[in-house]
Amino acid sequence: MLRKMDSYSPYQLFVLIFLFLEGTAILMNVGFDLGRDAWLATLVCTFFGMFLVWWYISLIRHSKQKTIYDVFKLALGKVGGTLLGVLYITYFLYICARDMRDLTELIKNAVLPALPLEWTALCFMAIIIYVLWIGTQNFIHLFMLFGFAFAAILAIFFALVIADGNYDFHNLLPVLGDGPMSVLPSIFTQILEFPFGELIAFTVIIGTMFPMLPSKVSKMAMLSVLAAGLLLTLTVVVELVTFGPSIRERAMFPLVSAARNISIGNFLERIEMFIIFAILLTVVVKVCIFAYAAIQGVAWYSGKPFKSLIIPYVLLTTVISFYVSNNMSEHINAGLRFVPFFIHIPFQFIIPALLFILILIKSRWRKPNEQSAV
Amino acid sequence: MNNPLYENWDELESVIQRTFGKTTDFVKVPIVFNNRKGWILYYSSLVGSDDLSSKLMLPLNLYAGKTDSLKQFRAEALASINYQYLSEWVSIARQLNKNSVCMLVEGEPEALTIEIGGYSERALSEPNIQPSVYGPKIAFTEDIVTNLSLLRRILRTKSLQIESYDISSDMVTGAVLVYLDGVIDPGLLEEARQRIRSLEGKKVTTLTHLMKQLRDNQKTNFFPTLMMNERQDACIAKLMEGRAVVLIDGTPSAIIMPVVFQDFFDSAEDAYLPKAMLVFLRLLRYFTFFIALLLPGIYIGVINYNYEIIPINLAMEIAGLRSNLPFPSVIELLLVEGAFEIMREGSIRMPKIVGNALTVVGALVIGQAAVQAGIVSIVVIIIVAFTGLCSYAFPHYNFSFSVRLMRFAFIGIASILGIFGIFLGCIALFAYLVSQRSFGYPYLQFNIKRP
Repeated sequence: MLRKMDSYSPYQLFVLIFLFLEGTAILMNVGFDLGRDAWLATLVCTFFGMFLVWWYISLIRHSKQKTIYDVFKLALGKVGGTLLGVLYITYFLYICARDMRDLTELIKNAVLPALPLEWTALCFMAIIIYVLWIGTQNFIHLFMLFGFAFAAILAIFFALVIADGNYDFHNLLPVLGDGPMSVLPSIFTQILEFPFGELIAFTVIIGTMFPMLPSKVSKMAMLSVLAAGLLLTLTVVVELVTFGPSIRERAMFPLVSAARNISIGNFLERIEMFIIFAILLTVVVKVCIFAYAAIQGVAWYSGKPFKSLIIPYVLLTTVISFYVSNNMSEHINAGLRFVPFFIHIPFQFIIPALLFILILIKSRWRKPNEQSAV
Repeated sequence: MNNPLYENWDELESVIQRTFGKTTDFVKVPIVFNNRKGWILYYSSLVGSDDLSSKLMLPLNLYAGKTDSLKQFRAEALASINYQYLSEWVSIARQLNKNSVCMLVEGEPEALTIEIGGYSERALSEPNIQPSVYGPKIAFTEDIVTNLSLLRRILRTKSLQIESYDISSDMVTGAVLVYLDGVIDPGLLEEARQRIRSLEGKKVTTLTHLMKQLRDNQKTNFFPTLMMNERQDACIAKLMEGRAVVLIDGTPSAIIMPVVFQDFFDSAEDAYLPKAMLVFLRLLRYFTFFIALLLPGIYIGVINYNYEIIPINLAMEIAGLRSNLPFPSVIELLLVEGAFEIMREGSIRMPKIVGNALTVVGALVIGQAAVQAGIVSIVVIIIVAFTGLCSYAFPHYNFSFSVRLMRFAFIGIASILGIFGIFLGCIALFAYLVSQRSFGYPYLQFNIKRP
């Protein structure tokens, strides 16, 4: 029987969060300064990430609102809420532009070196506009399809890595050779913010997908973060065992390099195109969700229809992605040193924590009042 | 009550003259019905003379003298024929246009119309567009009654429901909605009824018109969202899955609705195959879909931008073959693709005797001469030939139109962006497919459970 698919299933959320987390994290050099312990740091962060997503969902559920913009209004009133909302919209757009830049740099470096960056970015932008244009339900449905394709490509990739046989698990030893304290700062200042903290964007979507936010949803979200974190750990392990920590530190896109190293029987070579396709799919998901979160906010505050805002805001994001940095090394440097401290930590942890406390106080405060009124 | 059919028997002849005009195939015959005057009216182009004499004239001779009224006559002599009593000229005219004969008798307020039919029809034939090896060798014909009988002969159940609608501007061309009661989703049924009913008064005479009016997205239609099918077993299989079938008089095909993307990779033949073979064939068809869609684009992308992803020996070989050619690779590919499309189009429309000559000339000129003259490279010929071969492997002919059209879009985007363009094109294509709806059902959906 054919089905109509009017409502969302938790499996869709699973795929959505999974692809979102893989997003650019699978592409970039996660935990590059940790050397051979990068995988351990990613694994530890996965569990913090599960806590984070549970916390974000319960923030929405506890305040009985649909999106985080409603929560701002509830906690800070109209003026304060709007100010904070505008800050968050800017934050989402900025991260969206950074992810777009990540992809265009990848295309420039690995696929089309002769083509100007602007041209690639504009074509990518056109796809993002179209994907957003077909509507929320449709693009979430499309991302399910991406999920299957991504899983198939990654499965083939891991099978080929094993078949290639060019790996050495001694590259992982010694585990925590410099002591646990050397890993801890990077866990909290890098990997936890990118990619796990970026799940803050889901506070805009999840309430509209599942109005009552049953506990099934948060369980599925946590499961998804676990799966995504494990896959991320696995890719870091594969990168480490195939060419060792010292080369990985210097590689711009370690996973692409790992795929490029595979050679089986002088026939299966250069399979990095498939990996790039898988990465492209996840980046589309990530950029779309950030853009959706930002545009939904604009639509919420301005009252304009969502569709009329897609083209101007995605165009704006593309322009930001040109000017966000001058070249690739500056871009990566900013992404690892500046952005986590000054942008990610306040927007992902401090403000939501303060909000949570404010809402708890307000709900305590209100309860006796309501009872006395009755 | 409206105006009576006639005020006065003597002026009836002029009334008939006024109503039906002077068309030459209109026949009015005066008769004598039990010592009363009467008229028989029909279109000679719609009523066969053999059927008329055996079904109406013979009973008239035998029984007319023994009966008092038209009603009694019909009940005794014409009991097995569809009939209507009508008292309006408009509805009589409509009924006459549906192969009926009208009888008017002096003193009777109503006219009797009986369905005679009997004009010559094509016999049942084998399916031409969708032939099969094992399945039934019967295709739908142009006659709607025959088609309905083909369906009910297999689905002998009372839940097979048939609803007739008079659509088109003259309200005569009949469309029929067929469904299985209890299996079909009530929402879908209501939607189908509404859409067909909304066509009343529009100019709809063929299935293609009907399809255009019935589909969800009337503007863009890169992929068919309704399925045309001329096979009885395919329609029955879909009916049993809870879908509806629409037939229209005069077209030897049915519309199945709703359909999803995956349905275009099933052939009616699949029901007769073992499971393993079925899975293999499905995979093969999806593979040919992607080849027919993407191969020329990938070729352009690879040799213009990303030659490093193919084995080095192959790249050298292609480069060697292309070294002396005058055109850029895109122009070269478009030339051969264009020639191939022209050849394909020509060979369909040509009379069958000329068609053979055309393919021989086309193959000679394009295959051999163009390569030897050094205008195109042999690799391009291989690419285009293989692509063409793959586009013939679809079980549904109108689906391959979409693929043929989309292929040129992929060639275009690959010539600008290489393999990255192919990736983006695939994402856009699937985004388009996901956004399409067929009667409110998503066009691309997974895990469809089949009975």
